[in-house]
Amino acid sequence: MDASKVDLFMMMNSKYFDGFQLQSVRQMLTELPDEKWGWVQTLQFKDPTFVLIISLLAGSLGIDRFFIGDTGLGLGKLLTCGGFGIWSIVDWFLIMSAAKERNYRKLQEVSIR
Amino acid sequence: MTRKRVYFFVGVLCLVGYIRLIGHVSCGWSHVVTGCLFHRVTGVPCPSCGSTRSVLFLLKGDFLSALHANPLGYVVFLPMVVFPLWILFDLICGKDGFWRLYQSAEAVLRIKYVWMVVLVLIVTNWIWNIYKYT
Repeated sequence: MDASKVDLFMMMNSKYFDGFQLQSVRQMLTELPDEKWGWVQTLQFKDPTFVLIISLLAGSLGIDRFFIGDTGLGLGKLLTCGGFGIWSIVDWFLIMSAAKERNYRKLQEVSIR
Repeated sequence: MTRKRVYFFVGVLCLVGYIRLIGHVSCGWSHVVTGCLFHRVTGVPCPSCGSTRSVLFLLKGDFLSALHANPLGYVVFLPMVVFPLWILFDLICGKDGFWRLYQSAEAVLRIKYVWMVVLVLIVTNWIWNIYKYT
């Protein structure tokens, strides 16, 4: 893919990924054929800050996990009062990187497809 | 979510659940630890408040009181017995049966009608919970 398009994507979307993922995201996009640019542009990423806010407000109901797509863990969290109150606190620190990892996976799926 | 992380999360969750149960049975924690962050912050019980009481009733064989404390106690009780054993079995024998169950359960839960039914059941239970405990 064009270097200018990759730069544009990186400028717009770098906040959705972890620092250590950025280099491989750039590489993945560079190797991607041009006709997939449309796919990449329409991807909806989860905003890690927004997920953190959800986690702070409704973390003990597991809604943060449901939101990023971890349905199984979300249900587990819901059924145990947020993991007996401990997991919901632990998740305040884990959920942002979990969301970023989800975004990375999403991009990976498009590049493989 | 990787396989290792799911095993870790579920294993730790079960372990904390057992510590909590043992604390309740032998040390009388019920007056000390409420555990539920949601209940402490808002004063309103969460959908699964009362499931510890329910599991305790189930251990005594009092099925009706368990149902009245919180029907989710039944839903929590079975995984707490089966999942740790299954995880141990998988780890020792190097298999991934639990991981496949987790993935297929997630796939089923993503079907629109399934999660809508689950949501309605949980919200109904929550309303009953609020009615009972406030």
